[in-house]
Amino acid sequence: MIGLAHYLVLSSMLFVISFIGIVINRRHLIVMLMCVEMMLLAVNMHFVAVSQYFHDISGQIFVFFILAVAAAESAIGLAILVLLYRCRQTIDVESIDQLKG
Amino acid sequence: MGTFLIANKVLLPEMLVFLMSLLTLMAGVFLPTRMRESSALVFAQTALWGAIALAFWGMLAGTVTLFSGTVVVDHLAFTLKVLSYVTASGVCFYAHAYLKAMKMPVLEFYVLTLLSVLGLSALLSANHFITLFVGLELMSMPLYAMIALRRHRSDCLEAALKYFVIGAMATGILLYGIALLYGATHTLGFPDVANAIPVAMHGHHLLMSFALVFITIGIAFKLGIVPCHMWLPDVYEGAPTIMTMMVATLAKIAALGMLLRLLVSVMPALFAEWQPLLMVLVVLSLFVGNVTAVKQANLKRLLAYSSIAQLSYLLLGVFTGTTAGYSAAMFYLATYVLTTLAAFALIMCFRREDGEEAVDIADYAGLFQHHPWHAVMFAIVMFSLAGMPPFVGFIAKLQIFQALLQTGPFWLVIYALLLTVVAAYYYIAVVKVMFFDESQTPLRKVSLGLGNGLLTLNALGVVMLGVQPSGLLTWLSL
Repeated sequence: MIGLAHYLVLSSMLFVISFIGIVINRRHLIVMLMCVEMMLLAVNMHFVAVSQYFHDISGQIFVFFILAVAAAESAIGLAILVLLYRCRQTIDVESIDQLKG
Repeated sequence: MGTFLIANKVLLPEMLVFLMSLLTLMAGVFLPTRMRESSALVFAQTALWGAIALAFWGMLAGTVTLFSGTVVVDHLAFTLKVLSYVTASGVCFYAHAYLKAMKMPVLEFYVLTLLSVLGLSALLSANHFITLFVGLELMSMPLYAMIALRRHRSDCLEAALKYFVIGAMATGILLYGIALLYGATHTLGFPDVANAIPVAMHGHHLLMSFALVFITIGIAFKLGIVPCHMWLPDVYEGAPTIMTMMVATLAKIAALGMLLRLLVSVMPALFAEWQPLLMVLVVLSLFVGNVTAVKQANLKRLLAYSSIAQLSYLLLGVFTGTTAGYSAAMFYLATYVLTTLAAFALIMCFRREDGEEAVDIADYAGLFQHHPWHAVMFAIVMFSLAGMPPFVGFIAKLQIFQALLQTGPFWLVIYALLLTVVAAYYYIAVVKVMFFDESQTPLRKVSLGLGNGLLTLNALGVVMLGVQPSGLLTWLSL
């Protein structure tokens, strides 16, 4: 029987994986954007699981807002990425080092 | 019907800002080219000053909760909203001539600024996690786009990308914290959550602590305090200076608003948990911010590290957990915003020989000989940031330390005071370069148009408020 705990463990695993993906990713910026999306999806899964388990609808409504905002967010992220590619002809994370830090 | 009218009244500022942003967009399409840019400025200023007037009018109704308790307009929301409208109006004045000189799109700037301010208002009025989230995103997304407005400069794009990735990650972390809190309390409205936390603490204490840590770290990323500060100097340096000004003012207002709402209004029951958490952040930020700022050669990076240090004083006010502390933090924020506006406007005034912005401290050597008044204004700003009397930064620090002395711990007061001395060193070093070093090549001064007069007012305001702070202090006290 799959219970609430399974969903919560899965969502926290997804969250940790995406966080690690952002922090140690040294290859591709697209992967970084995917990790950001995955992070929000992990949160969505958590919300839906809790909301379903406790029969409280507001968590599922929150998910709709997160989905919409995540779409807008990835649009902006990809737009910046396209501009950066035009400027530098590469989107390697390693090459994003003009500003020291 | 009665409720609807009240709803109209207190939400009129937001409605005005929203409508004017659409109108500005329309102006870009329908007005003849020569009228576009100045009319956009007029629309933006009308929106912001109209919103301030309407906010004062709406506040006559007292604290109001709207839309099934998802939006609240209380004193905290009201004061921070007015502060953000005034700030945005100042930014728009400073921006006008700068945008043209830098060949940045002017109309888009005003539209996005108004939308960002709209998001900030929604965030400050939030009484429900959904409102908070939507407001936060509406505030942040225009900022990401605006940093990338100079789309041929790869350093601006890099700053935009860094700000975007960190901002999105911070949102993710904050949301995960909210999701954990939702798991423990099964509700999302702020008053309900505040009531449910003491009950849920018995069964889900660990879950609650995790939620608190995630939410605090999310806000710490937005504030840019240690250990979540790595992005801040890069974004400050890479972004066009007008955008650095916005990130340094509007985004900080949002972060303090969130901090006061979430920690103080929603999670007062967890005070014993979040106070040590804030203490760790403050101790680290004070040290790293002040000590790293000493060896910076770039003025924008120096201001970035100095902002880390400045914000940790603000956190000290929240850390005390008393009303006096929160009021001191509000006052500190207002003065920090005022001083930062002047600091970045001064940087926008000067160009090197090749037309690039003068951002190295060495560029400003001997500024006093060529542009004495601007050098004096720089000195006023730097002394105020360092916290010297009679400037307003002194009063702000004094308030924080007074509040902290009443609650302790005493060693933290001593520690913060010692690091204030370090801070004074690097601020005065900048002033020394401007007044006493020999200049190699004189800087070219560019006019800020309407911003010139505002800059003088702004710098004088830093002095005047230092001499006469009582009005602002009373207005901002919670």
